[in-house]
Amino acid sequence: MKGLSLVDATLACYPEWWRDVYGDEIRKVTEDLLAEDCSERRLAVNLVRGALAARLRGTAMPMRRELWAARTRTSIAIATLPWLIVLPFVLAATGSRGRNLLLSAATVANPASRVSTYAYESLQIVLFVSFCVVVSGYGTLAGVVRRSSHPRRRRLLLLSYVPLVSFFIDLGLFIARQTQVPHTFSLHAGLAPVPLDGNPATAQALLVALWVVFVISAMASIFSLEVVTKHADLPMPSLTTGKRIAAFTAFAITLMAVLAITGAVASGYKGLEIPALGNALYGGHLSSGQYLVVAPEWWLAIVPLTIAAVVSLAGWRSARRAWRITSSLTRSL
Amino acid sequence: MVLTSLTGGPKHGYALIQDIAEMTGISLGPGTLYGVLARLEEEGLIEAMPAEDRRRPYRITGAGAVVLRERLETTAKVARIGLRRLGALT
Repeated sequence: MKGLSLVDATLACYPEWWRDVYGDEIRKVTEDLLAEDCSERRLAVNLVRGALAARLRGTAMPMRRELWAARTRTSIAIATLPWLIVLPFVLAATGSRGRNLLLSAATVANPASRVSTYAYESLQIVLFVSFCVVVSGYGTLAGVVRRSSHPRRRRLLLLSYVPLVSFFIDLGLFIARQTQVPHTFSLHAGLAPVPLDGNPATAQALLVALWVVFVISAMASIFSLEVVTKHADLPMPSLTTGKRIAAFTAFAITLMAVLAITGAVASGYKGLEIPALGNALYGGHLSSGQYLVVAPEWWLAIVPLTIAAVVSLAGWRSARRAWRITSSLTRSL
Repeated sequence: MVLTSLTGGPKHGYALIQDIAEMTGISLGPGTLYGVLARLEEEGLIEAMPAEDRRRPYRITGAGAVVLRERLETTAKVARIGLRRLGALT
């Protein structure tokens, strides 16, 4: 029948348990609508939206422990993965794309500059703490998989390390690039700045490599976690730890997004001078009445962080609900 | 809309889409309809009947009728007030 292959493809987007309950009748309704000359594209879009909602909400999912435990694991992965994906953007915003600015005492000491600086420093602290939590979380996952009696334990264990290995490869490329980025320039009136250190061509090549590797590693991480969370049956205490890590990660990403927005808005007002409120915040950088500060490229981090925060919070909420149901189903066994 | 449509008797998915389109002019897609049906079924407001030729009819439950009555009464009250105020304006 016309358009049925497209409909079949979209029906495949629904979770398996959904297809078991509603698959036959939704296909029949779709056939009837297609016979009525309904637009197949419109139907396909509607089915994809329905599949997305079924996956996100889990409405009418049968009360079987293995289904809800799998949902808890997937939700934890959805809450934590955005952290790994968003990391290069945050690093690029706060480090590699920074510019050294020479500012006057009054400009540096104004409240907007202080807010921007505090946001910058807080973001780095949150990034470091959340890094430790996420790494310990993936370590816990790998530990549980290692101790499990799953027939494909070794394969799952290898897959559970993919996000961390990808992360360290990305980080290695990032550091390599940083060593090649020029930091000192020779300035001549009317001419472009001439770099005195680093190698701009190598830095550019490494940046391209970083993005290519990042995209591949992000996709590999998503795929590997999808497989691990689908097959590795984690015991209840591990799911509880995972749920807590998901909560922490979701709030850490949200906090980083808020800090990036705050820093960006404050940076926008940096030009406003309010000397009466000034203090010696940048005392360590004082040099002949001027201050040397790093200006982060906040905007580079805001969009990815905001999207990651929304996805991560949704994952955490889903993990919390799924964990609660899994817990009650485990007790009733 | 789905609950109101089911007060006219049990209906399967396609019949629900047609009835709702006739009642309201809104054409629901199958993805949207089955999302609603799943939620109503989970809340115990409707129940599925045995399938006939891949078509499974749904009927409203006692709890569903109570919920629908409350919602319709609220809507009717708001509509009455709105129409009265509109009448006073014109």
